[in-house]
Amino acid sequence: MLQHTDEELVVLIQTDPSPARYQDELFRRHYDRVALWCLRYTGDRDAALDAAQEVFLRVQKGLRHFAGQAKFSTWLFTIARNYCFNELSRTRRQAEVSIDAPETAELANEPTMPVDEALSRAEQLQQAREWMTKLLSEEERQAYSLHYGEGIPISTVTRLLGLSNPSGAKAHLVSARRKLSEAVRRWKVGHETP
Amino acid sequence: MKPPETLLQRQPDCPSIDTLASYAESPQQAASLRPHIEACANCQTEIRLLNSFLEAKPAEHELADTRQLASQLQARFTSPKATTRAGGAWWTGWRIWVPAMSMLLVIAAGLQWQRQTDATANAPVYRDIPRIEVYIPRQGEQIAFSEFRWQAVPAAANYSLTLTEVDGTVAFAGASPTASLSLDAKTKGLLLPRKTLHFSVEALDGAGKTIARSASIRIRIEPASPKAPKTNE
Repeated sequence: MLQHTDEELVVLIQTDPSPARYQDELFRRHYDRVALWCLRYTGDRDAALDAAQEVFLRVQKGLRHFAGQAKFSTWLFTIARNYCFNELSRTRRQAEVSIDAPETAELANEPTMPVDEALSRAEQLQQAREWMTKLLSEEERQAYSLHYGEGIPISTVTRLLGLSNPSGAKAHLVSARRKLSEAVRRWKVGHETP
Repeated sequence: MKPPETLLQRQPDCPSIDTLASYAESPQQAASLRPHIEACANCQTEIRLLNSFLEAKPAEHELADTRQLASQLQARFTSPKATTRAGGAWWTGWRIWVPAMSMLLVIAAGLQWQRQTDATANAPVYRDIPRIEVYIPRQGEQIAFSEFRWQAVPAAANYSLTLTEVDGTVAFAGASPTASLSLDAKTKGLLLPRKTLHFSVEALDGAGKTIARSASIRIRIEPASPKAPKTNE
């Protein structure tokens, strides 16, 4: 069975009258990565176990519909990512605010860049991408995108990105904010009508 | 100041995660994506998360927890196995013994208590678990829940049941000579709304030796509207 790819195992699970051993093998290959992902997302072993089980239950349920257009591992990632981002975020966000209250609130209440009146949405998008690409480091960009774009709590961003600096993603967010604020200020000066 | 959140999220021109995965695997073959990905923080972040998921390299402080979690997942999702007989191919043993033992467990998970004034009339909704083939009510179906039931194992003299908390703490342990166990008030009291428990059962022969065991079945009970009961899905 070891010679089968993940995708071949999925086909066997879908077609073999005794699919249990194929599913055992397929799942066995991925327990570590789902466990680690859920551990990083939740930051708590018990919650991670619950989340990881939910992910595998969803995989079990969806296997019969898996058409093999993507790699199994990519599909599995999508399920784990979406479950954590969508299902767990709402409840965890509440808890997170109370932990990081002062600085999280400061970042959350930060005003958005006031360029919407001057630029079309496509232009705003292009401008935002340009600033983020040119001004921010890779980790600043990714922390910023996860926290502000996806609404992922700061401590979770720190774990997901594997940041080991003392203040984790918070430092990257503060630095990114400073750089973007300066870019917006300069942009406004350059576009002010006399 | 910060860019509006909507500009930081996935945009219509962002490639699908499958396409990003192809790019991550072989940037040369998906070179046409490079300009977009190099300019898009969202796509870069997706690729980084995907890579970190696939690499699955726990840091030192994550090692023990990851191993323990993986081991718990394996215990809960691995199907019951037949004993391998010395000198024979593993599947020979499987084919001989499994008809008697493999189909063991048939229990539903994802119970949902209805709020009713009469506590003894609670009617749970079962959620099916794909591994289990029979005795599973359809999703959303309500049945009177008064016992755990599973498929009988012919050689079993007794069954040992366990309900555990998510951290592995045993909340209830019991035994039954038949393939069911009626719930007494104390056991029902463990099935609190929004609480997750794991149920498992082992079949024992006359000498007390385990001859078959179920997967660990996750049970979660959620309060439901009396008029429109919901399932967990």
